[in-house]
Amino acid sequence: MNVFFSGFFNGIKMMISLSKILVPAILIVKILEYTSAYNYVSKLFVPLCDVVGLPGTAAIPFFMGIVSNIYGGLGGMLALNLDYKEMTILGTMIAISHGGIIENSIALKADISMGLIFFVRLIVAILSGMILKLVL
Amino acid sequence: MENIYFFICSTIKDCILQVLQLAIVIIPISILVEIFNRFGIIDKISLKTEKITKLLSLPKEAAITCFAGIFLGILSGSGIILGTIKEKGLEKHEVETIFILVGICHSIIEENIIFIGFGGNVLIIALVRFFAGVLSAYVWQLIFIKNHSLLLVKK
Repeated sequence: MNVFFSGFFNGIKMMISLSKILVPAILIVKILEYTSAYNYVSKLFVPLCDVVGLPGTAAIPFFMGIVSNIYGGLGGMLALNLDYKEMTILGTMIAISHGGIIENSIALKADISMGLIFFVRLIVAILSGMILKLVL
Repeated sequence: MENIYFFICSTIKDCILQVLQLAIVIIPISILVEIFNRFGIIDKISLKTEKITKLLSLPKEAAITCFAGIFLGILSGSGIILGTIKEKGLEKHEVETIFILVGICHSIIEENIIFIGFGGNVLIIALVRFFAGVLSAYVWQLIFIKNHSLLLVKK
């Protein structure tokens, strides 16, 4: 029984320390959604779409995936009418690099740089998109 | 004005939902981890996965961290990930290696089920993710080993 309670309180402690980081992260995502900043910032990703063989409009779901979560990115992907190959490429890229704010904020709790993890994920996503464009 | 009211309400709702969702996952898992620790099951698992952790030059205690991340996801597995990192006192570049691996390839069960619904080739997506994760973690760890050996040579 002792084991049970110490595990329970460990969980509660973890919850409290995590929510201190999660709530601001969710707030930032919500503000970005509310001001529809997506549409402006995702224009920066349009040249990137050429590199991985996607139409320019695919920048919006990719950026939505990076800022919010995987559901946001995939929801935006459905609205685009992509073919099977493009779906696979964009799906892989979103799967590798999503939840840039909420998920990577956990890295702050481990005392490492959040930006490092964010950029490594972004670069790996672009690289694997380029490889898939050549292979598929 | 009504828009802003709606925005505040939905934000508060999202925050509460996210935290509750985490509580549902994290509290049972941390109880399980405590029980596992008591009976020494974690040590047995980490012994078996020594080869994998050796590839990434991580200490063998880090195996449970990687498994939690890969199968549960960053958010749901964060209890185990952060707990073991604090307990074992890993070095900074080791923590970064773990986070690169887990960040690229996490919750392989849940997120790949989503892709079956959304379209695209699930097998390719899952495989590319997994190998990209292991490869980039390997490359990251290689940088530090090289620096380390260079430092030794200079001395």
